[in-house]
Amino acid sequence: MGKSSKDKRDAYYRLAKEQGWRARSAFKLLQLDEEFNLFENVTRVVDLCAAPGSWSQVLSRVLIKGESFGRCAWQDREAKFRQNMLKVIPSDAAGDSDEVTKPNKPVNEGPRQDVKIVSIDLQPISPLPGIITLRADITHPATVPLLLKALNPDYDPETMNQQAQHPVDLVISDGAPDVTGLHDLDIYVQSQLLFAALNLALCVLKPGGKFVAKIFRGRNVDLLYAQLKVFFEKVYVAKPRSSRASSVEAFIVCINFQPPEGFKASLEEPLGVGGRLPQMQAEQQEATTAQDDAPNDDGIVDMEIEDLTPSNPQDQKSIRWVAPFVACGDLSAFDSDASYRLPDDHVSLDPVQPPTAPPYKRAIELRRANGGAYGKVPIASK
Amino acid sequence: MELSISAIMAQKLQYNSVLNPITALAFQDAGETTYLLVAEDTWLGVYDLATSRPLGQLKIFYSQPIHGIHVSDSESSPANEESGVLIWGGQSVTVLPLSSLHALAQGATPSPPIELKAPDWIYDGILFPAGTSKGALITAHNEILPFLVSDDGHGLTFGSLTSPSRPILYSANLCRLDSNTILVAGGTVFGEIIVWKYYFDSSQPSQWEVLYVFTGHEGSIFGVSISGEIEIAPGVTIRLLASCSDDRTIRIWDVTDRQVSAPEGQEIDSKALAEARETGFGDNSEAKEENKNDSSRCLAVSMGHLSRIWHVKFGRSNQVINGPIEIFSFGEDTTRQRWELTLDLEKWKGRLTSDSESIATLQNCSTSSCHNGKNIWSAAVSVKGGQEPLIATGGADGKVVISGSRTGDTTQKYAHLDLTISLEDVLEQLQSSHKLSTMTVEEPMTKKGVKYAFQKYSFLSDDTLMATATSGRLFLANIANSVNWDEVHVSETVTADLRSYMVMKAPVKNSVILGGATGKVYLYRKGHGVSELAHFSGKISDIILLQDYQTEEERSWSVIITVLSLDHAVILNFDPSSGKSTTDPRKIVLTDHCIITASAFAGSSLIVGSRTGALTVHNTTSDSSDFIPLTSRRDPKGKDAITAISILPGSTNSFLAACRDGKYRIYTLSSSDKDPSLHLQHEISPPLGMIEGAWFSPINATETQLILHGFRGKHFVVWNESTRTVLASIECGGAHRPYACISPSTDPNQLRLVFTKASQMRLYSQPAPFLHTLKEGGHGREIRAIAASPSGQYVVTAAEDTNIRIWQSSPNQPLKCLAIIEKHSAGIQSMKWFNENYLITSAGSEELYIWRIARLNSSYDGLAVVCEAVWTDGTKDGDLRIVDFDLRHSSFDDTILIALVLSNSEMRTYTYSPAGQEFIFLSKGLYTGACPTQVRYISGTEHILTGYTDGHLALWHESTQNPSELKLSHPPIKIHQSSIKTLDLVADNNKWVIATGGDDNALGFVDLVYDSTGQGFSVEGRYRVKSAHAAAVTGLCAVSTSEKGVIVVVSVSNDQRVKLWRGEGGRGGFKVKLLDNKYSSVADAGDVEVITSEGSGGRRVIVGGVGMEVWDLE
Repeated sequence: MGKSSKDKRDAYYRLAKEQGWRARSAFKLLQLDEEFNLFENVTRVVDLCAAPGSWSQVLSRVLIKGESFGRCAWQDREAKFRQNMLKVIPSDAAGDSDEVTKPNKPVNEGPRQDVKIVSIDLQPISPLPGIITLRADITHPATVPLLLKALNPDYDPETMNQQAQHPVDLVISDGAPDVTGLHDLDIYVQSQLLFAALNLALCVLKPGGKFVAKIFRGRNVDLLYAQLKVFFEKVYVAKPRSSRASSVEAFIVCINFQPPEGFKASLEEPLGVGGRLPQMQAEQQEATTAQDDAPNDDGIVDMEIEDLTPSNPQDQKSIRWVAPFVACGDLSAFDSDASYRLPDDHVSLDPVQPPTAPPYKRAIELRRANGGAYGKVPIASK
Repeated sequence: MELSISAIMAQKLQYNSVLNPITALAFQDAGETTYLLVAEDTWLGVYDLATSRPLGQLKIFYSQPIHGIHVSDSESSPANEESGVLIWGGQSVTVLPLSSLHALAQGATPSPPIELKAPDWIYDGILFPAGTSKGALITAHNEILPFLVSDDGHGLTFGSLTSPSRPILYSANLCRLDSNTILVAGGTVFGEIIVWKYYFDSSQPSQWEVLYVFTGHEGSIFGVSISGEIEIAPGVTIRLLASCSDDRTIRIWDVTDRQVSAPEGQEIDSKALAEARETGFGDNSEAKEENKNDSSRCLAVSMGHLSRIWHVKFGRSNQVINGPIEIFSFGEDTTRQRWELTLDLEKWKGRLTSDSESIATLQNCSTSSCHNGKNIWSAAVSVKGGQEPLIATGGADGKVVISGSRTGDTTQKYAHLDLTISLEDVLEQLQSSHKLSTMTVEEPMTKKGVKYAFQKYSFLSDDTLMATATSGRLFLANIANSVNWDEVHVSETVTADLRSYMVMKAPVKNSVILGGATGKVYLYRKGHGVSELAHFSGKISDIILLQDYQTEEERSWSVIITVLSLDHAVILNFDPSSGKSTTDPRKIVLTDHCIITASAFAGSSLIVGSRTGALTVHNTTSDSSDFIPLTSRRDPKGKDAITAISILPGSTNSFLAACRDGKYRIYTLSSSDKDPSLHLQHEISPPLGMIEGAWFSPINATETQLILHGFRGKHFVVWNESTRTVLASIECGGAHRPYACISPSTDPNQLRLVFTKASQMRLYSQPAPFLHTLKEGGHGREIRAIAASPSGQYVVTAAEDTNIRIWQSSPNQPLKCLAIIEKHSAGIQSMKWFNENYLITSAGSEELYIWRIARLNSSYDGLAVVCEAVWTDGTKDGDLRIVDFDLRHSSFDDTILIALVLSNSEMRTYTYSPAGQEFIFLSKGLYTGACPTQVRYISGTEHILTGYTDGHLALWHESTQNPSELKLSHPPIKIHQSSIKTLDLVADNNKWVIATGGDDNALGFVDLVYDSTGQGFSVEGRYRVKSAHAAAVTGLCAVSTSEKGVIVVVSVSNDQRVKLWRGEGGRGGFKVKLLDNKYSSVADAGDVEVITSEGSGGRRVIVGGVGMEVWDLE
């Protein structure tokens, strides 16, 4: 797809370029923040799987530069107008009536004090003002001391301590593997990435802290939700409007970190494989399958269902729980699934940053040199 | 109360069948024959290779697809009943005793396997030969998990995990070295390969020893394979490792055991792990100082696949000392490729001193495309001595393809041959056997000094070929296991007439008809020699056959002779009993310089195909005793020749016309002789670039298959359209060359082909296709839409790759694919049937096609499909998606009303008239900008229902002031937090229950009432089942029920559950019951449909996504 047709097909691709974001995923974090006030009273953040760095860019602009982004960043004015006209939103309400209860966003007043942001990825990340970037594999044990040292220059790796002395308020991860198409393997690898992020988060997060990570909503995702619930008071699964409905991607938003008594995080004994986590779950099953949430006030009657299916012992073996779903970004946000008409004189901008080179880059170059299958691709003239 | 509940309880989903990706394969020797073990989702199937029949299947795991099968090597453990089969998938592991497998093969049901859970994902496993009762698994974190098999052979006991380091892997392979040692290779996500040894006996100082850490690959390692010991010089053996990666390369590494003194295992200092250092992509491997030079053990690197390579396996190696080592690779591009590794022994010996030189070369030898769509997910290679290895591949399409079958089929007549023969070779053979007409071998030169070459070819029978030379001489080849040549002696004048120009055709068996430049037509008959048959006024430009060339020679026959610059063509009849030929008095009158390229009689009408793609019906009339053109049509877009016309078997008025535009078409000639007309019934592009020939093969008493041949790129391809398989694909250099081919009329799998390449003749003969389909597959990509025809006899599925398949659906029978449509260029969004004879499909890029579907009146059972109309009223850029549409009968006439929704938030309505084949615009309406996802006509009203990505439903009707404008009938109704992904509704007089499935994991129900007195719609209630599934609800379909006020729906989700719900309104308010909840084998489910079979009333549920599955609704 060419740049111009992608501009029409994908409103957030166009907006990202217009607003100087490295990738459209910046809007996902902004919309998650709008719903959950992720950045409220936050100064110390770790961004995992950060490349090309659009989430770190959001952190840099919000926490360090003190910029404030609201709905105007992604609002489709024409849609808002038509929504009022078609009475999708009652014109007296500001459009919030059908959202999860949400405190008013404080107006951001300038840069925050003592901000510390560390971004980690396998690929190098172009520098961002005020952000420490590290190139590391988050599943690797060596990454913990690396991160702890970045968070606290006085940290001494010799102590072998895997707990942060100065913990952080928020850990975010937008990481996803290149999918193979073998669905259960892809789901496993994504869950390992999520656990790697969680294992790191457990080492550096302060009690009461928040954890946000990408998740694939596929088979057995309810096992994952239940496992995350062991460590946090509230767990939601959130879908920003900037994330396509056709994608299995969603974000797990975990609020109020409450490590179980006696729990000590360690990458030597990571969670996600083996029996440690299921054991912890069994010990506190209550907490992992219940969550008090205000009911939605959208007038739809929530049904208690009568389950007539026989209980299957195979299904009872593991603890499952479905985290409440929250749509983020109000209705007037651009729709990532819709096509938009652009003015005839629309000039398509270049992306802020080219995508990272794929591992098969050399294969393509070689083929091109040999006039092979990719040889027909015209090489852009200078 | 009790009674009504038990009635509800009766509504359940019962497993019927699956067609899923094949995720593991293994060969198992079973005495006389060989079994192929096939893993399809949670099921293990056993196939007999000798008969290609499925013997039985067994459910192995509760809800986990199988990813690997290990059969202990029969050479190291001669057929022992005690041993078994190790099976794993995800964290699930089980062992199946051979006795269970044999029971399965006998049609019995063995005891169910015991499913155990390993602490992590398993990539490979190994079962030691019988007697030792142990084995090991390797996890995704490079850990060995040893186990013991219980005495009864059904149970496992795990030991403790052992690992030198725990990077995350994408692949692993285990190889047994001795009774205590396993060689382990792990390919990491970051492109490294760790090779280490694991010792079972823990009394060793260490349980492991790292041998090598290889770096070099630039992407994740998707496959690793350790070879057996390979003898490269007398007494010198090596062991190799093959790897394949995201970087598209295959690499071969030398992992021959180096003799290291005391292993330093446990020393892996936890300090090194805890050291603060950067990791990830780049030069920071797990390698320690002692492993820094390991990568010089890379012997060869090569590329061949177009995309990712999933598996690499070793083939033959020990045929001759230091002979080529065979390697096979299997990729995302659905190809399997054969490679040969040649080792330079001298360089290998000195490798430690000169590692820069290439020690070995890895040569790509062949590429075979095996599957539909994308991905070969599983492969098995079985090597027995020097024989061609048995290879099986399993695809995302659910198909299993094998090659190298060891059991010879005695019914095959054609031996395997692949010969290149020059004209000199023929003359030399004739001279040595004294069969030459003139004794000179030197003769073959034209006056201009150009060498004579082969001119034309014709098969006279299965084993006789006539090849002519540009010198005008005629040669006969007798083909058996070798080729014997003979010359047909003709007079010098005939030779001169046929020199440098001739046409040659075989009208019936053992006969050849030849036409020359002077207008003479000759006949060669076996046993009768060559005789002159007729003499025309000019050069014979072509001879067109009017019967199957396999007709027995005793039958009389006819051909059409076309003569250069003559305004008509002539039918020549021949009667073998008298040996006389007659010219038919009825001339074929040609207009507009029509050049005939193919022809056939349909009843008394003569169908003529032209060089420019026209088809003309000729017949005699009351005014004319000649065959005059009565009606004509031309369907190819360009000026491509009709290459063959074939009457459908058992029919007199339907025929097939093959064309060089790559399509074949089926027409029906209307019965009226006076005023005939041609109706296009079927038009399809099989995967051939140019179709040159088509014939019907009655493979048995009940089934007739359609066989096509032609050219695709540089290949000559024979294609079975009925089974959609390539029967042969031979590189010939491209079209535009003399060729001839023949197959036994009842066995299209056998083939003989002859063609000219580089002035030489190539003769190819096959007893069977190189690749054999053991199990039929379906789409090789994710299914996005499903629609059943009203009678339930057809089901249509559309996949991510824009292919559409039409399946025959009958109760208690597996789905049978009748047709594949490849016309859409963008992702298919929606499909619906209109009666049994129209299918409408919509896609991205504003594509909406109307297909006419018909059954042919012929013993050939293909389905006739033709695109009757294309919607063209789109936008200037044509880049919107037609997300959904709905249809209804017009209440006034025979036209179809269509409402379609576009990705720019617009809805439009049209009428389509099958008679006029055109769309007439009616009205349009615009929503907020949100993308629509669903549209339905509300029966009994003039209103239309739509669903959107913003979680709202809307109701529309034509504005009374301006009928071309659609207006809302009711304010939008919120039912989901985010996208409405699917909906269905049931009507009850003026009430409807709408069921919706959302991206928010919820199921919604809307109670809608319509007051026709003018109040319009009112919403009586909105109900929601939160967390109805653990992930987005992607498909939902209502099941018809006779109960009033009740809606029963089946829903599917990305969480891989299929659920059956019952919603019921009433005085006590709305109630929802969950009737059934089953594991679904279909990942990434795209749609669900209920098939109600006419007559029997049996209902089935079909789920499509990654593969498809069928449930019986009881």
